[in-house]
Amino acid sequence: MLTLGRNQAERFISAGGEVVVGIEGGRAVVLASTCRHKICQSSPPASLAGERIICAPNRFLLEIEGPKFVDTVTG
Amino acid sequence: MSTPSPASKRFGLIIFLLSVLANCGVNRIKEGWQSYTLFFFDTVCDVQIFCQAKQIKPTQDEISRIFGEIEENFSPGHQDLSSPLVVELFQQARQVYLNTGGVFDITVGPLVELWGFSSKAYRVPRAEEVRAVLPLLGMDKIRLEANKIVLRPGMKLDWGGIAKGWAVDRAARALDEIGIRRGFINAGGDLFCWGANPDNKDWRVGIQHPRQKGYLGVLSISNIGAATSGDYQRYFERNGVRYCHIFNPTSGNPARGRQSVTVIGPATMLCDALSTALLVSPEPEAILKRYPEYGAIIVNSCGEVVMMGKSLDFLSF
Repeated sequence: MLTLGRNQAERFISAGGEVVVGIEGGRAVVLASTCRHKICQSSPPASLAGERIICAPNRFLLEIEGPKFVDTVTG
Repeated sequence: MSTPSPASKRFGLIIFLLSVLANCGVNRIKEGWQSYTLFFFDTVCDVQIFCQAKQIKPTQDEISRIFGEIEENFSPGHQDLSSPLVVELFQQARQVYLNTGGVFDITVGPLVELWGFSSKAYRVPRAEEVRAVLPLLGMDKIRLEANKIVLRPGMKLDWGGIAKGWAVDRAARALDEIGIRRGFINAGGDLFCWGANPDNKDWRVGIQHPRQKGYLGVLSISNIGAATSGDYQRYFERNGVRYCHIFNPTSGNPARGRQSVTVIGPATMLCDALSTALLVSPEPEAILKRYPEYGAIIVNSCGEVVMMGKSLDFLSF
């Protein structure tokens, strides 16, 4: 688990490949990914509880933990 | 047989009460909220259910079996048109096609290809290219012969507007049969929730804002499905114009005029299909009149929120 309070970068090996997550200024982004279309790299930064960045080809899910305002989301 | 004394009756009652309390305690230990995430349909599928520890694995296996089977049968380029699953969903899709005046149409496959959504090599085709593809569209051109779907040459089916919702319905039904009485299944925004949430209230479902981070508002629902279609989910821009992945089968162009449509109703499959149809249709109210158990939250191109159909418990922000 990474904390949003410290600027850092970490590489994750998931079921489908590798993803590098960066934290800067309290926001998480995907810096690099082995997936083909790099949709995860162009996803907006995540910083609030429940926000996600998904890399489906790599079977990788980044989610900001914390008290959630809703149970689930449609959209 | 001797009659039990009042004292022994009282003792018996205490033993019985202790036994009931002990059983409740055992159940409380074994049951709890479980959450897990699965990857299907090129997205994440969230599951949260109230169950016994021993039920976690069977529910995961069952959802994976159902989603895997549907993914295999309805993936682009991997469609056996005589598969019983394909024929069954085709019949459901045809009914929606008829009820929406052809606005919901799974034959938009050639348009999806022409505009580059299948290859992600996006392009704005010339008007004559679009016109050339239009004769390949229309579910009325499909025949069903000896339980096999027969397409005309060049036709291509796109199940993206209905298969995921159908999968959620089937998975929720399977979990109900296993004995899961509270929970939700959410496959990339197509969801079904039932029973009470962990706070013993209706489920709070956030609707993604189509133009910014965060939520448009929150629905309070239970024993019901929901799905959203929007122009922000898959799109590209050229010269400041947004082209989304949902097509108007009459014009052959991407849907315009609405940012998102969320539909709530008893079947997630219909929520899925109707959200697509209402994003495209110039007359969404007329369509909803045919589905009185369904309600919609529509965000128009100016960002205004309009509610239609069955009334909903929706808190807008």
